[in-house]
Amino acid sequence: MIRAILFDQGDTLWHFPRMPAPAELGAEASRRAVAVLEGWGLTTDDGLRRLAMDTFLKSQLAELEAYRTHLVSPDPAAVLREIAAERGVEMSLEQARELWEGCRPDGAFLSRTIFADTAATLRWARERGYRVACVTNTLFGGRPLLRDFEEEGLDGIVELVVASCDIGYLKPHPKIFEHALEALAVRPDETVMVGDSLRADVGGAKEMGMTAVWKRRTDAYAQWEMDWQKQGLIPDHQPDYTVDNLWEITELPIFVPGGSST
Amino acid sequence: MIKAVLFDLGDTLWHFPNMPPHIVIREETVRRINALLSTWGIDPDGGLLFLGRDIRVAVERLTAEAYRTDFVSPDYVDLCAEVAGSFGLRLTDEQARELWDAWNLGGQFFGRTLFPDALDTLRWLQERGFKLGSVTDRAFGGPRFMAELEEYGLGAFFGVVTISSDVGYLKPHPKIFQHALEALGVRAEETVMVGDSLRADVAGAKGLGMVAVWKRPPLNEPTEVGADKADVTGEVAPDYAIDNLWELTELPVLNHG
Repeated sequence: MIRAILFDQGDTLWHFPRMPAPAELGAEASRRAVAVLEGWGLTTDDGLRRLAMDTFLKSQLAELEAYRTHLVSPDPAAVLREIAAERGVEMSLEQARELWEGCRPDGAFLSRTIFADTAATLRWARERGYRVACVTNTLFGGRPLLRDFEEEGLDGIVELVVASCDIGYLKPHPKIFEHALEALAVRPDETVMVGDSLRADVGGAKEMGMTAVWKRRTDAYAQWEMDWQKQGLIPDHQPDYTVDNLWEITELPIFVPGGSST
Repeated sequence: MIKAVLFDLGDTLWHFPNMPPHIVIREETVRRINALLSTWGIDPDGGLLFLGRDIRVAVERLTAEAYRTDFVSPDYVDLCAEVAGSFGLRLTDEQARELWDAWNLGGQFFGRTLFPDALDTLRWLQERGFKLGSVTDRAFGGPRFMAELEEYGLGAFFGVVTISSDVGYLKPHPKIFQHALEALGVRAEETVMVGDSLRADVAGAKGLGMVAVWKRPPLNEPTEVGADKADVTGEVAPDYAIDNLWELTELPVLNHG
């Protein structure tokens, strides 16, 4: 019997239809980083102005490498701290984390747009008594990520948000899912994972013994994942169900009338 | 009477429907630059990780500036030397050229795909005796790019391929069009220009008295860095607008027997 539903974040709950170009993102992150650093009373030189974008690139490359291999997530705050030290500025890991969280552009800048049926679907799940959590691969966790859920009015609905960079493991590593399952006190066979990635969400769920719902995507990224599957670089897991819109999950046979409490 | 047809390339004859994710492009850039640095005996670890990214930022900045001002194509090899200099690397001219070459991943990597009717349309025009050419804004030309054109089967059609970074001017500057017209031995009013940018292709062509065909670009698809953007706003109206290349075969100006 199903008792919990885990959702991926990007391209599952919301998307970024007008994501600014990398150079614009870098400039915005740098602007924010400079504001934090100057708030600390530091004078920012060229190296410090580039701290945020350099941290992002280095962390992203480490994350991609990990995603293909060991699935241990880099900690962007640790990466930032290391680069800052190379440029002559020592800071604590807590300071590095504050700076990293402070330099993330806000949802409006990133063009974050919630799907029209997201809130209704999540509310449907909670009303039926299902536990609801978000499990996401991201380099931006912590407070700013929780704020995203608040801004979208989902903070009272999603009980738990688990971010790979906070936990130290990327989906499909079992540990990131286990973290969510333990917090919700449910077993894998009682849990549905909904997400748009064949490797992270579908593959991760199937290897854990969860029910996998693939929110289909047809863009270049999905093509890449399918190519990886064909080349044998990632396991060829098939989803239990495929949907195009979140609301379709309310019609899946696993969610028996009356919900999980009956 | 029309004697020649010139084509833009990106989003006109080909497009990029499956551009790899940014991070995959970045990873490949780092890999290629590191391999090059190693051949120079330079340890790529540490700060040099950001060299490729900084070249891209500089390419975007200089190209945008040229479009805003004089349409003079930036010197990208110089730019590579300059960016490398900011990392404490003093490059010879030859090394700067090698760095620029390594930075360019090539169209294949970006998933470049000809539109399905591109070759048929070019063949139709060629069979009717039109001279064909290409006029394109690109940061990267030269022999390697000409070899790429061959791979896509386009080389055989074009009497001239005029590339902004080779001739020094970006569309809509008249000089880049004039270069192509002279090479083909035709006058502007004998020529049709086909492209997706209202500013670079349509305004550029009309400025010289050519017939301008606007190929409406695929929306929400990425373009290569340094390529002309799919410009859908402009002050100059095209003579014709098409959605698919094959529609060219139905235009009155290209059907005079």
